[in-house]
Amino acid sequence: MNKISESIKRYDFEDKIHGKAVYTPDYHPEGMIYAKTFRSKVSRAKILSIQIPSLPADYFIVDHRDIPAKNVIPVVFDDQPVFAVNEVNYIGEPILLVAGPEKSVILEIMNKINVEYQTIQPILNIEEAESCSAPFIFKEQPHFVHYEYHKGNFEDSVKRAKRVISDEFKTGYQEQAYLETQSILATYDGDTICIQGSMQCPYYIVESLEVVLGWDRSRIRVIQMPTGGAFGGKEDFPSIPGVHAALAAIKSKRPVQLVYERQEDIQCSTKRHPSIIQIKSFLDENEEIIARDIEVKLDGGAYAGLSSVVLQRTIFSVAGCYNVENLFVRGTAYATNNVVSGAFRGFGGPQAFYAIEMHMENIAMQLRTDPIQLRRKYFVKQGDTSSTQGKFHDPIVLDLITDEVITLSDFKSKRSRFESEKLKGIGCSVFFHGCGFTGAGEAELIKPKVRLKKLKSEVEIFISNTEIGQGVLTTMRKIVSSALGIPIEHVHHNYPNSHDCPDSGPTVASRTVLIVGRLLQDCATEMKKRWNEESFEIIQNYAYPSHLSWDNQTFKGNAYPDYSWGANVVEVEINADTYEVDVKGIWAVYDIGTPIDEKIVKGQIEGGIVQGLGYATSEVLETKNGKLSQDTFTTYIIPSSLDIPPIFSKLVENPSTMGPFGARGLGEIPLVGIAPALASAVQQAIGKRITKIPITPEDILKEVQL
Amino acid sequence: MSFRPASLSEALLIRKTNDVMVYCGGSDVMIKYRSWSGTPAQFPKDVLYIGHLKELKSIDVNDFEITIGATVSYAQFLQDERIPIEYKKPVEQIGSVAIRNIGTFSGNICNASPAGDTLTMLYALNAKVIVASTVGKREIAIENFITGPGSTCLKNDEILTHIIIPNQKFSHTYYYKVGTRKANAISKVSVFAVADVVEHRVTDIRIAVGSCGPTVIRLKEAEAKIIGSNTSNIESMIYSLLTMYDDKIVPIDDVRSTKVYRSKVALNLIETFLVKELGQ
Ligand SMILES: Cc1cc2nc3c(=O)[nH]c(=O)nc-3n(C[C@H](O)[C@H](O)[C@H](O)COP(=O)(O)OP(=O)(O)OC[C@H]3O[C@@H](n4cnc5c(N)ncnc54)[C@H](O)[C@@H]3O)c2cc1C
Repeated sequence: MNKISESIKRYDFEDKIHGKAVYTPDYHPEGMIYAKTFRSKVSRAKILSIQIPSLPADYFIVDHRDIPAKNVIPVVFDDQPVFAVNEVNYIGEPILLVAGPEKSVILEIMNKINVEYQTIQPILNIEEAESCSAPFIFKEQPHFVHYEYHKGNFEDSVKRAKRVISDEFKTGYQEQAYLETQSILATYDGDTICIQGSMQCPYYIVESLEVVLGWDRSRIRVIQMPTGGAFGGKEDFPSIPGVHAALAAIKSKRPVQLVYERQEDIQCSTKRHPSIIQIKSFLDENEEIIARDIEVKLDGGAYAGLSSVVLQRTIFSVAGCYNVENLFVRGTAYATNNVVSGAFRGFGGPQAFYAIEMHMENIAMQLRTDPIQLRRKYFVKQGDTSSTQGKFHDPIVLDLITDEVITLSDFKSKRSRFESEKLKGIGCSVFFHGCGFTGAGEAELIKPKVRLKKLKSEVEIFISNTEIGQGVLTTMRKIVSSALGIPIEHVHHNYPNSHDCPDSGPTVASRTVLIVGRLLQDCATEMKKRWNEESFEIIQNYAYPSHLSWDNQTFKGNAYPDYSWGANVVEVEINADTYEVDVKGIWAVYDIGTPIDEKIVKGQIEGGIVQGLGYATSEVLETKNGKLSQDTFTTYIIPSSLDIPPIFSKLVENPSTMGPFGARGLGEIPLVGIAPALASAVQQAIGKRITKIPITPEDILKEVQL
Repeated sequence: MSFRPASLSEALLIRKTNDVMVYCGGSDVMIKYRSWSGTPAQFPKDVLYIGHLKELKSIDVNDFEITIGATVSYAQFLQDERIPIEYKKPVEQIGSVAIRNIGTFSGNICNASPAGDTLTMLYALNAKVIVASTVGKREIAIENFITGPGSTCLKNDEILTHIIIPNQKFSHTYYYKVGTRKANAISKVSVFAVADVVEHRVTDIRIAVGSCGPTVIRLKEAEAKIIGSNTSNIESMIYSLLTMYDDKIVPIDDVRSTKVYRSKVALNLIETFLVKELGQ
């Protein structure tokens, strides 16, 4: 084992375990007041008028008229307003804030605000969006983006085909369910606005404030506070409460706390995109898969947000781990009057792998071949090209990963035994996760920088990446101290502050260790050369690796800088009386390169698996007329500790050539492959096909009663 | 305003002279009347705290009855070694450790949710409650006390002081809760059943079904049909028995589950108890 992989005590451990960590809602600076968001109660309407009661002294209304520059939350497209002005597009859309010293008075004011709406026919799901006509939500079209790409000679292969196997799969919403709701504290000293809060991406908030306030960056400061989980839900979303709280602090000249209630948070923060995915495989006379036609549809909700990027990852992942030479892949992110869909651990990957892996199972069933053998035949290898024709430069060890997971789980004998044992099943999945930003995004959009500062024997790390429970405050210290060859006690690292941390990019996309960790390693290597100097600092810039290429117009080239790989097996038994799925065990093998800290890695694996299990089974989240039906933890069912099955995980050794000490990204991949492995297991157990997730006991009853 | 009486008699006096809401463990009312965190719960009335009352915090066990005081927590009940383990089964699965530390039978009963997890057992065991006021006490059978979803025959000046469970041994007890997950879950369906079988003959049987109607369902006519039968004959009666239950089970569709699922699963669980458990 590599020395760096040995676990050490986490640096955020003491504070969090002893309850000493000060989270945003715990922090009450002198003179602080509260703000609450007044939101749309209808899914689509024109606002005819807003009546506001007369306000007591020290109470404020903050709305679009308080915006000095632009009423826009910049994400990819500039379509989402900070506050609604003339129209609302989803239930929960912010219209204004009420701020003041007493919460009870704020509630009284909120109750007296009256909005007169003229409703417009809402567009409530993908199917309605596909067939809708004007007025459209986004520009003059029913979708935010539509993409297509080709590989090989699709048309000719289709003509050659002797057999077509086609499927349609549906996946639902998922809520991130972080322990700490969205929380922001804004302070304004007459010159500088300072945002402290629960977040993944401090610079996203900096950029939003620049646009909305029209201020110079020097007057904007964003600081991460200890954060109670994020899972993508604090990627783009905190820009909204961040900007809201800032406007309230500037107007009131008082520190403003904006903390969401759980129900409010579930109703109006971003969710995982629901999807419909159709896959057609074309087979020749030898039953070889020669081409695939894949169509992905996502429900993006009311504003574009990150839907374009999520859709890209879905369509780049949906061909799976398989080398099928001829592809036609297209995807559409539709605009609907639902809550905005956004980032969530896996970022389009879980939908894609659910669909392609279930489709592979179906093909194996139709061809009456072993599902593992079928997969192996098409596994991509070093030197092959990806679905977007980027060359895989590094060794790919899918065969080894699959061997390991099969052996560990005793898959083969169980699979054949369960053919005759009722209500028992076992299923597998093979998957990858592209690490880092899509395409050349790291070089062209993010341009990450890191900074290391030496003062005598001490070294401090300055990066914008956040500690969201995944261990950044520990792993980055390990990387720097190992590269410098100094004891870790001499390396310091705090929660990021945009004032002294350069923009090393967002804490997303399984990129922090791979990209930022590598920059820190390089930076430390430079520092080591000048170690005899007493005090100095180095800023390291990212350079796009010369062996990679990407064309963002045609989607040709290396869709991601690096990939992590994995395989899962899930064994289930269905309760004959209640149709509940009892998960007997989950086996998981990954190639994530060199683990930077084995315990942290294990934590990520087990946490991701449990979140994947919830996605596949209990986490039902549906909209009814644009409103989410499960908006509390009583009705939105995440697994409890008692629901966690035995998990057996293992890593294979295959160091990355790109990441620090051979490490790759890990944060997301454990979630990605659970749903298809579980669904295949349920399929075997009940002898019926599963084409939608989550799979509930109610669904299983329907299937077995048919 | 809120009241924290020093004794039951003081509590009853407050209850008589004020329109108050009784607050025992608070694990139902704190959720029901929750408000923006950091502001007080929006209780509809003044609050009478009784959870601290020592005189209601004991469990008495004799050969005939188990008497549970109103402020006894689930945790205290579970720790009591005199209680038969079969009666602990539903309680062990309520909420989570934290909820079992504060939640009470009396709160569960007075909340009168059709999904209340102590209720199936209390119905099956023919439990009674004692309610008291300044003028005296009433002893009421559980199925008469609960009158509908969220409603009981408790009067405005009364407090539920004790729950009495007959202390009887059964040859068979059965409990299954179908929750949305394994902890902190509201029941989608639950069945608590007991039976006495003497030399293959059923001498007593009670089956209570939760979450499948406005209140817990017990079918005395079905039970009467089974009593006296030989266990080997039950399988041949099962179709007609299940039809009787099917007629009386009237669940609803909600965010947790469906009508169809609840009925089917309730019948499956009853069948499992009658055929598999009793047959053994
Ligand atoms: C996270 C969580 C999980 C839960 N899980 C479960 C579960 O698995 N199964 C389940 O059944 N319930 C569950 N509950 C609900 C609740 O915990 C139980 O119903 C509990 O038994 C209520 O008891 P309490 O003393 O806390 O009631 P309280 O909230 O104090 O009172 C409930 C109601 O009864 C009235 N009341 C209470 N005591 C008396 C009395 N002595 N006389 C007159 N009126 C009275 C109150 O006025 C109120 O209307 C859960 C609740 C939470 C928050």
